[in-house]
Amino acid sequence: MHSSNPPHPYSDRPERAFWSKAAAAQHVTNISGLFDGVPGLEGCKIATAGSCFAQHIGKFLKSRGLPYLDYEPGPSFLSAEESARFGYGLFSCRYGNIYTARQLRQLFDEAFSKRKPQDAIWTKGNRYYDALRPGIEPPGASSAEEIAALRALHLARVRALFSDLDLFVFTLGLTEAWVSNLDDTVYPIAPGVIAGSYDPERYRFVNFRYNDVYEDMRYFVDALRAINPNARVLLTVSPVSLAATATDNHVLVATTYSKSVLRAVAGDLAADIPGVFYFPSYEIITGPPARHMFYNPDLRTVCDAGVATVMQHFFSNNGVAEEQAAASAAPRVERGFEHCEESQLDLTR
Amino acid sequence: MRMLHVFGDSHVSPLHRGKQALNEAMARAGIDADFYVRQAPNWRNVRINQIGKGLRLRAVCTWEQPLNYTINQPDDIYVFSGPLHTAGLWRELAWREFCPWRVSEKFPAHHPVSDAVIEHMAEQHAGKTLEILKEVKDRGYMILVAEPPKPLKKGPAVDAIEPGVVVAVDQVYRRYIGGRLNAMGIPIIPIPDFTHEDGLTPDLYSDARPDDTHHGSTIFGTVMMKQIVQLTMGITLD
Repeated sequence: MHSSNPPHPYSDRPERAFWSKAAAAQHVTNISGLFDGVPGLEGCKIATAGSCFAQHIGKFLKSRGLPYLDYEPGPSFLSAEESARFGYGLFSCRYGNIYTARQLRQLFDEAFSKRKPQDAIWTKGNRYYDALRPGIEPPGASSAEEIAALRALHLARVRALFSDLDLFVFTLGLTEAWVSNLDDTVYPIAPGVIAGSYDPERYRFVNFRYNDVYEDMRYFVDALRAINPNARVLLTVSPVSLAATATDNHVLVATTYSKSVLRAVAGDLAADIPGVFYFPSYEIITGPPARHMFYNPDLRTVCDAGVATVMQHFFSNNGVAEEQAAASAAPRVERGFEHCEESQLDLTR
Repeated sequence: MRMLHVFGDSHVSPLHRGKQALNEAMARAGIDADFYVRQAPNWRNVRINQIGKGLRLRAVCTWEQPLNYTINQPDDIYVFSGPLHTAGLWRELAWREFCPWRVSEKFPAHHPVSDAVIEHMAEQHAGKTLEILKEVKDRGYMILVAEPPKPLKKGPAVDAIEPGVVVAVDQVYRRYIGGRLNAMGIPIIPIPDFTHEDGLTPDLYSDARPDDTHHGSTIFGTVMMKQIVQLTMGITLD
């Protein structure tokens, strides 16, 4: 007698639910169904922010002719490399890398006058730096007045951006951060690395946990929608490993912790909040189907092919017309090169 | 006869005309001057070689005319025009939409630009020239830099850029390069205060050609040649 298997909970699951068929048997570039897309992406005014990996997303969105918002463009007399060095064109505003959810939350609050950081200007020699985006003016400024004025003008653009955008693409990068003991302001980079000086009396280390990150992101989404009710949010997690950890753990262990928390938060926010989406760039780069081939020799940064593959998956499920997609070539991405303050941790030992 | 060698970018031409207007006075004072002018881009990347006891300056890339200039008179005075020439930056059309942060309140529709960005561009324009000037100085020659006129009053309108933006860009650029020259110990021969008003050069001291945005008139050249002679030799020309 020949009998069919009795039904079980996996019997009617789609092919993408099964590792052997959907992952093991597929080349990473052929994997399908990773992302269900963002409905109505075409025509959306898109803004980006986040850690260094998010810079690639913005470049590709621009290259595909999507209405990408750049509210603080660089002057045309700067070359592309010079613009990037001065923090232009990396994200939709010139906020530099926003590595943590807390940074994003406090940027929003500062832009809408809900908080004012007390220790926001750092020095190095006789030069002044915006402590909340110290990498965007590499030479620094000659006065604190200039930093304060430029920050006020920057915040005005950030306000306009949050008010105008339709889709906010945010890449979660880190859980580790350095915090002011004065008012809990979180910085993108430890004091002393680019500017400022490390004083344990003034600064402390924090490694945000799941609840912290979830609450910060939830706060941000709610606050964003309070001023822009139709705003949607697309979350990604950076596959770029930590350059260094301030925990006692091995940097590999610290990286896994950090990325695990961020990945879990991103997934839960997408599950909990309508209009919040998760795009699995992290899985595309770090998952076993990629066999680590998308990492540069430093095993940390992502190579051109990895970025291109991520974006191929992004566009393949977003209804962006092929002819529109093909109209412009992929932007030139310097191999393994993003403007990343955190990477300087490796250079300052 | 004491000798001045005036060389550099197109701002040398008004100085040359000014000298011609002063020929008799300079001859009475026992001063002569020669002039060598090449367009600004030639001076931005110059190679310097020792030739006998002198130095030969040649442009790495030539623009319009070859640049081949020899410095070999250690007892003479060399006056260079070039690194304080700001028009290459303030004429950029981006300034229709951008402004130095210091004037951003006056131009709220413009994107603010930090001093560091302007200083970076000034360094891009003049950095290699400054290296050459330092090498000339370090070889024992007396070299000074002549300041060109401020942007002409008619200049901003030619490029449809706000005058207040042009003046602010010019100020940051001159201050930065001035500081670099000062740090290298190379004196600047400044333009007299009466040759500019509110950061711009009035018509009297401006080249009369309607589309010229930044060169001085013969009167300006005459004023500057008097200034050069006064500051380098302590002689007041009548």
